[in-house]
Amino acid sequence: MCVAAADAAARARGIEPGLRFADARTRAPDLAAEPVDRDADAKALERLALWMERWSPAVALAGPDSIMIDTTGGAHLFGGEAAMLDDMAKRLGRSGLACRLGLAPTPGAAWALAHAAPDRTRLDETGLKSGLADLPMTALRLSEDSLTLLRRFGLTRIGQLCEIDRKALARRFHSVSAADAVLTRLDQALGQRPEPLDPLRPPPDHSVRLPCPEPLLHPDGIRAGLERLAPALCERLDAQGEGARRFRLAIFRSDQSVADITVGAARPVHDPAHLLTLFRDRLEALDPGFGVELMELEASRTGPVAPQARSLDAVFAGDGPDAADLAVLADRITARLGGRVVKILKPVQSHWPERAEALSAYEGELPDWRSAPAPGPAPRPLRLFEHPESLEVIAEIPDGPPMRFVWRRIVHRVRRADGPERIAPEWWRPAATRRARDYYRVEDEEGRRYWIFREGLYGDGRGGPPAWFVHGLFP
Amino acid sequence: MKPDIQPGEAAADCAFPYGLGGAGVHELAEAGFGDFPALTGFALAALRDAGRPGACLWIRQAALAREHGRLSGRGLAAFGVDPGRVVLVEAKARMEALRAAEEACRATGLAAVVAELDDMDFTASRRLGLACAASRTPLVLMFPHTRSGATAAQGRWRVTARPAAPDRHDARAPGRPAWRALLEKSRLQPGLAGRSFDVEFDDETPCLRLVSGLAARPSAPQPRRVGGTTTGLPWRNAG
Repeated sequence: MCVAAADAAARARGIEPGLRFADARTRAPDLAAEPVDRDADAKALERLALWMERWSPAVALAGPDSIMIDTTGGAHLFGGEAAMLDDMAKRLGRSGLACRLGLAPTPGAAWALAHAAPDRTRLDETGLKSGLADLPMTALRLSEDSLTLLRRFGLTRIGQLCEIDRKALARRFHSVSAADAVLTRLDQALGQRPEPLDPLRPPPDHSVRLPCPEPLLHPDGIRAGLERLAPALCERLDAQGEGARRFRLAIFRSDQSVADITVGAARPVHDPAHLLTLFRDRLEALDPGFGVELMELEASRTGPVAPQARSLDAVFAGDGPDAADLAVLADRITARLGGRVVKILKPVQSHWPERAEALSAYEGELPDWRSAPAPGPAPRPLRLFEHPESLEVIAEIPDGPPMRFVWRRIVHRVRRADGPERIAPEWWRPAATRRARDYYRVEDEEGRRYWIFREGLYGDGRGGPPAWFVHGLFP
Repeated sequence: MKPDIQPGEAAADCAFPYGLGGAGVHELAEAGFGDFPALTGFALAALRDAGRPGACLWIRQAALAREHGRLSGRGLAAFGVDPGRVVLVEAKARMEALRAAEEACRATGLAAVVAELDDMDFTASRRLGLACAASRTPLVLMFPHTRSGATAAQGRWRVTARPAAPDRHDARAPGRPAWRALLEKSRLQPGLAGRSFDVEFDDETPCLRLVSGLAARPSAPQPRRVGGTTTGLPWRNAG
């Protein structure tokens, strides 16, 4: 058992990561130790990273102990770079988190500053090279092998690596890729090679924020905040002539946690009143906890907003459903029931009854059935079972319609039958499951009409004797 | 946006199907287990004949969809209803279905709202009635045969499937869908409560129509039915 991590107090008593636990115990008998849980650490870091979004939407994880934030063009909102770093340190320190901050024009340099330079060191483009020169090689995010090799060459500072001839360096590595890895890290730190950030969440298309001078403690405060955020966001969307189909409301609590709710709309929305309706029933899910410091409303999946006015002709002729009204209604129902509950039936190019139509989520457009392919010569039932239900059948002749069948333990005597309509399976499906079906429309003595089928034929060599199923019900 | 005065509405209330498919809450219930498809057909036929423009919102409770199958687009098309105008709402429980129905009834511009529910209490039906009153949207509630109790609906029908007359081209095949509808309660026509109607859906015209007792009788040797005659004369299908 080894020490995985040690805090400042432990380090002061000579306990470093990598030390045997028994040795650590002898150095500090009153040592408080916890078994390491990397998964929990990673999760906690990710939660913290999401909370760090209060400073910039582009936040990424960089290794097991670092968070990278792209604050380009955003520092002035917090009173300049130095003030922003102080703000971060203050807020993190308030909950007992020790942190080291570094700010530089490139991610590599920022990482180096945060890990090797004094806390809150800042560099700009002009001072980048000289600022990094004195830092140890370990600040360059290199592999252990490369570090050992460089140390053997006597290269321990980043500045020394900059001065050395690159070709000469490459010759001393056992492979080209190993040398290239070192030079890539150096170039990335100096901004000579690009290093895109991989943010935790894709940045939203639009977002508005509401910082709270005093932490909000009551859910009504969140409601009031949303009522101020929604018009601001919609104004911004409106200026671009677009609306959004996904909205996310996030609250940043004072204990470094974030809670959010996401609502969707069937078609692009830029109406504040409608936006509030979508959130209305969901706001209870947001717990203010120890107080909300910042609220953020984001819009994504943007698209052009359909013109709002309907032609007068269409109004008087009652021509077709008003798609905009329907979308609004669908959103309200979705908001009340939760989940994707509003569905439409879409025709599919398939003659196989299970696949001939798809139940898909309503996305603001009604499907066009006029061009749907005809299903077959015989009528289709009004109600269809998702999974055909099995029957026990007595038929006069093996290939004919049944005389009598038992469905759900009730005996039905067939009075009239129509068929068969043979539906062959699609040839591109696996042969083992392919069995032709003979569909019959039958009516029992009570007058109830069923759509039943026999799967397979006698002696078709695809499994046992044919089986009977009921697949739908006629009115 | 529709004009407030609906011409001919008063006249429609006096004729079959006595307001069904028009504004207000209407209830349909199965007469016995297995009559749900007949119920669906009867409701669709009435709504089709009412001919209101707009989309139809069809709310279904998951338990009933499992029991009686889901609506099929091609089946709707065969019934003369454009499946592209039917929007389905999947509710997990009765409360969710009622909530969705209430929200839908408040909205304007819908041709109709149809809800498949397992049961409902009087308060809920009253609530839905009030929601419908402002928008004048027709709301059709469909219940299984276990439905009983008081209702604030304008009318309640019990529908059962009836043996169809033989197909015109093939005597062995079932012909047009036929149902028997019992008007259990009607606010518009209280005097007619308790009467039953033999109806048939003509899928060529297409329209819902009453059939006389003679024409309703199938031509093939008829099984014994409660209240039916047992003569086996080959009657021709009227119309």
